[in-house]
Amino acid sequence: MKIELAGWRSEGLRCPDVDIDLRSQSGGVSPISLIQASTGTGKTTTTKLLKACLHGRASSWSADEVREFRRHNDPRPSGVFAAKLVIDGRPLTIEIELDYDDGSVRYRTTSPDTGGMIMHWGPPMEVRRFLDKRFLDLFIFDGELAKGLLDPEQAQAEFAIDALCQLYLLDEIEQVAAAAWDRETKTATVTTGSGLKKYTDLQKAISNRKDVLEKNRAKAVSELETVQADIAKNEQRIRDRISDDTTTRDLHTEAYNDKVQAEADVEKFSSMLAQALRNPNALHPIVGKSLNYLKENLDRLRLPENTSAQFFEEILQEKECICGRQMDEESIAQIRLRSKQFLGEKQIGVINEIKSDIERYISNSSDIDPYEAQKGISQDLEQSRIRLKKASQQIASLENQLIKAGDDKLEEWKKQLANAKQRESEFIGLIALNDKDPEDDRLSSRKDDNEVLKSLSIPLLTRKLKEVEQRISEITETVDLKDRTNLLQQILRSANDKAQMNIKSELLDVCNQRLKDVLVNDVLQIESIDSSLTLANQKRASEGQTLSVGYVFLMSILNRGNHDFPLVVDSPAGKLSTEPRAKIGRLIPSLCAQFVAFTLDTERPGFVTALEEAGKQIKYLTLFRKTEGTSALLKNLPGEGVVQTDNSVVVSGQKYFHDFNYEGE
Amino acid sequence: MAYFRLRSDAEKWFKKVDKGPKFDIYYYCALVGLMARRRNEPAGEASKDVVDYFISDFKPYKNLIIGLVIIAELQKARIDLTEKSAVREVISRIVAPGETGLTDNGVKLLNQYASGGYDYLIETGALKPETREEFMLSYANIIRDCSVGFGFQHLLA
Repeated sequence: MKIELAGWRSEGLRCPDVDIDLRSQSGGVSPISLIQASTGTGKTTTTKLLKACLHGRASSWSADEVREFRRHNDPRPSGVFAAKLVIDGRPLTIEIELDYDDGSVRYRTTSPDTGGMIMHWGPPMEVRRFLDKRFLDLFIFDGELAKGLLDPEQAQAEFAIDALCQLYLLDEIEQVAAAAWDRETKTATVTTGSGLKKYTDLQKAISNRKDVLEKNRAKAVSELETVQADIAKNEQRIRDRISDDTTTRDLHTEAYNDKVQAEADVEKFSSMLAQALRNPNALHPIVGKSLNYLKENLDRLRLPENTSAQFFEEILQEKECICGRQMDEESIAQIRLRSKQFLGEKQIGVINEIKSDIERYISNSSDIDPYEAQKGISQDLEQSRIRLKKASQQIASLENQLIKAGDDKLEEWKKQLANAKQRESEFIGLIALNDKDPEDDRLSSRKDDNEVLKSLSIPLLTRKLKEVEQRISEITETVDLKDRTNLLQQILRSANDKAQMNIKSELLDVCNQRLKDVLVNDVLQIESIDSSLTLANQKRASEGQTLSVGYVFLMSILNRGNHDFPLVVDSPAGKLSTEPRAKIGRLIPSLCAQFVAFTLDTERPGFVTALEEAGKQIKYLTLFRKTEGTSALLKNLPGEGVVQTDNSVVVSGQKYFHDFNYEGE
Repeated sequence: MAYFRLRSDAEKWFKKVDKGPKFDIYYYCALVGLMARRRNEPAGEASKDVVDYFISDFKPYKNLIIGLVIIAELQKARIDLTEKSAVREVISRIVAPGETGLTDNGVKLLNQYASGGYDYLIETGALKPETREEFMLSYANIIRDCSVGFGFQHLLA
């Protein structure tokens, strides 16, 4: 990203009213702009307001802080400062208006990317990162930052490397990975390997239990088949024996056929009665009549009403009642109170369903009366049971008749048959337990693990096994995701550490080489770059040395980074001695994309001349206030390139810049 | 979401009837409780969750059962069907959208009627059923006996 400062405009502030344009005649932003301004022309105020425009936090200033920007005796009720930027070739203007009456600050942002002017601080999202207050201190530079670079507590050096070399992107990837992990596992209760083991153990236990039950069931089925074959054989033998006897043959055949038919009827009518009883209306006539009476009375009471409680809640949101009356506090309280007397929309739906079902199953039913039908089925069942009982008794009686007549074989077969039937019943019971499927999936899933492991139900175990396998699959994915997230985070931290180390090492060499060049007569070197810069062989540096180190470090890193920012400096060479100011002057044009400096006329020798030697285009501006002391200057202004306001003069041009001498004037 | 709950002693009593869904047994008890207008919180008796919805066999009759809960509650509170706001109040405590069509309070009431219904069976000396058929055949008679005074008896005249 390339951020350029195209100028600023101030009105009604402590700094003079100016409209500074840093663009060259060709329209682009000049790579070097020098604003020559003597002491008292509001340079500190200008840089402070410039930062305020960019960082967007001036709204939190106190009223006193706001009023400090008002110039003494200036009657204007407000002041305006606008910073004009160019972001990757597209204009962005951020403006603040300071209201001295109420002590507030209002922002305005103008950008084609945000749809013109918006009435708040709103630069495009991708720019905001670089408008952080700490970040602004890096490129709107003053002596304080240079000191901060050498202060371990401020960690400015590390921040500068992180910000300008985009190492923050590694942190951001880590945050994205952490957020993805949180999102994926929001509902997960198990995220660790030990949690996974608990489920794999359970899977194994359920699987073993299911295997055992299936083997037992298969054995029971096989034995049941054998027993049933025995039963069939003995029944056949008994039937043949009774049929062989002419005295019992016809009676037995009849009784046997009756029994078979009665058994089938009992089964059929039993099932029909179970279904019939599920209709409450089939239990007693009072049920249908009472339900019908309830429905008729609800209709008469107009329940549910056509109006729901929600209707009144919606009215409460309106300024006027549905009758056109203004909603005052008393009306609102009354409507809120009385709305509670109405049913909710969804309740109304349920009551209408109840009424509709009463109508469908009771009032309008053209079918046979369910109560009468139930009575008919009950009678059929009762009669089938009596027939079954009679037929069974008749067969038993015929068998006993022959046994009493000395038929030992028949007696033996009957005993065998009784035993076989007992065993058949046991096997059927066992198989039924194995096959019984708990009717409710949701209920089975609520059973605890111990209960499941004791169950004889193969369908329940099968379902539980599937659930556990599904769970294991989910946990495996979660555990795998966690491993991968951890690995990614380790890689990112390692990459960050290595990048910091390599960049610091590289910067250390470059900075020391440049320091040797800048401070020819000084042996100042940087020993290490950690959170801050540590000087070699000395704990402290003079102000000039600190400034030199600050410039060299900052420009080296600005030059190394992936983005272009303007370097804005107030009195860049003021604290430097002659030799380093010339060296730094030569260094600046090659290391930063845009350099904006507020200079004093005393900085021209050495520094400005060195900048000019670089051969880059320079925009020269000279600014002074209109005061009694500067009235003589107004008489000698050049013919062109002069912009005047009520309280200031800005003169463009190299010659005026070099000739300007405030003291001299 | 509240569950329909069946007392464990009732489940044991119906052991030999437990051929169909367990909800049948819950229903047999609940209908006796409703018709007899008897409900109670099963004191000291363990209960088990059955389901939290009307199973498919009962879906067509779900609203009739809810209607019976409304009638039983109106009767218990001696509310006449002309008292609109009192009727509305009772209904709003019982019905709600959802799988049961009942509020949590409504489900709790039906559970109490199931408990009361089982107590009625025991107190009136009903014999522990040996087969499902045997119980079903006697059930209509049990309902006939316990429904004396239920609902709007003048309608039978």
